[in-house]
Amino acid sequence: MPDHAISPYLLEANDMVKYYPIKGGVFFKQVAAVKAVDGVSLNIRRGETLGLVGESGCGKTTFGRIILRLEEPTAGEVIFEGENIVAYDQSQMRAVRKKMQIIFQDPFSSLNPRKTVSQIIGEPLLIHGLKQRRQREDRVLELLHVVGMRKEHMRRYPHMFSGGQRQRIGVARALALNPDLIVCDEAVSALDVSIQAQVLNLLKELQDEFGLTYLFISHDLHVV
Amino acid sequence: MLEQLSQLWRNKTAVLGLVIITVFMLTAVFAPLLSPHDPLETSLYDQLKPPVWHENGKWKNILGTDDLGRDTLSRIIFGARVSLAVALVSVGLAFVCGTLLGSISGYYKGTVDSIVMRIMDMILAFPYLLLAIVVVAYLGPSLRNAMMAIGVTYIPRFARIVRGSMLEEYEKDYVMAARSIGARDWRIIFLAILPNCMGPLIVQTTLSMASAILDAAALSFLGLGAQPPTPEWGGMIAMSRGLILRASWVMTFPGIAILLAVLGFNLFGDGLRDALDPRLRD
Repeated sequence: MPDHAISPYLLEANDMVKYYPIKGGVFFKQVAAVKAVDGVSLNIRRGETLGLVGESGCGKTTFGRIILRLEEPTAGEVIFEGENIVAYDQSQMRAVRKKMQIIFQDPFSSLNPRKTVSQIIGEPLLIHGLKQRRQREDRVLELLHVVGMRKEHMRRYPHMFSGGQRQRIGVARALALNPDLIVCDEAVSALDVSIQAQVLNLLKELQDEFGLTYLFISHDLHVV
Repeated sequence: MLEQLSQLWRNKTAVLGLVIITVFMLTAVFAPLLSPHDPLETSLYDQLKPPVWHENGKWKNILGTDDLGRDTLSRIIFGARVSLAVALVSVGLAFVCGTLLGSISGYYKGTVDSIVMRIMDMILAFPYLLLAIVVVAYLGPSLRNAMMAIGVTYIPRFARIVRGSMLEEYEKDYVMAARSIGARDWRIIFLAILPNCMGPLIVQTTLSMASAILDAAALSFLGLGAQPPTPEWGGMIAMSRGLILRASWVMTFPGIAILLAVLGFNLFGDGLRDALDPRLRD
């Protein structure tokens, strides 16, 4: 694509601003704003890992979500592969979502408790056009293998797994569409230390294998 | 889920409720096979016959006959059909509309939410039987309109429950995960979030069926529901009101039928609530 020639970066965020309005008074006018993210810029090259560190409540998570447009920024632009995705509409955004994924902090709430592992990992495939069940299951199996889980895990529900295993399922879901960028939002904070190391190693291996780009958000400098 | 089923099974009153509901439903389905007489057949010679255990009772009419000589037992058995239809149709209508409105309200929040919930508040502000009477008075008295009226008045309770659960579930990461993989709104609402809101919804459905049966009987009693000669429990009580001193059995048995059906759904609904609500579990 010609865009790569123009910009050396996979992702650029320029002067990102997100204010949450506080409404009050008789007519629900905006009386103040919580400045969650105020003028943040960063650039990530393809294949790079960028660590975003900060104390609790400083807006890291919000920032990560804006990058994926899971929250709308108040101002600023997100340039992904040379295109400003803030300006994209719903259907354009759906196409871009294939290329950028997120791994969540809490593996207990990020997996739908009513779906089996196979459905959870297969859902992105279904949404993005892989309609045939057989093919989908093959791919799910492949992904489970990649994250170090077994075939018999496919039919189980999330509550039957430990935190580390669930996080692996989350990783497999993020990988399903072969994304370029993965935002790891405190991806290992909820896990204990030995499991943290396992998941981090897994992420590292996957990066080498698939050439992934990470935006790694954490409050823990050791992890980064 | 299995754990919850066994929880339900251990609850004896819930099992009793389930038994009553099952008997009620089987009665409704197999009414033509079970009833000894045609429920509409009048007989001049058998007017106001007492039930069989009475000194003048005969096995021909086990629960006696009404003032037109119609067999009470057969009419009660066929009445179960009407009540079951009311329970299914009106609660079904309320379930579908309420779930739809509640999910949209809880998912999109903001202005849509305010408008929908204020309309629900308006419906709730009326005493619901009165509202049902207004609807029936406008559409004309018939069983179908009574079902519609009851359905409409039950919409808010479903809408509120779904909206509440929706707001709660919306905060969870799996909703955001669904958005991040590019799922459309309808997919997130109906395939991701709604299955997680089913617990309270199922409980509400069972309990609403109990009150729908009761309300339908009340409307029919007032002459706004099923029209004679349709065998309907509320209507049967209304017809025999004048006979209460002369032949009390004519109105007693349909009354017991209503009582049992409502009791069955209520017991089962309460049991379900206990089984599905983790906070009530020991």
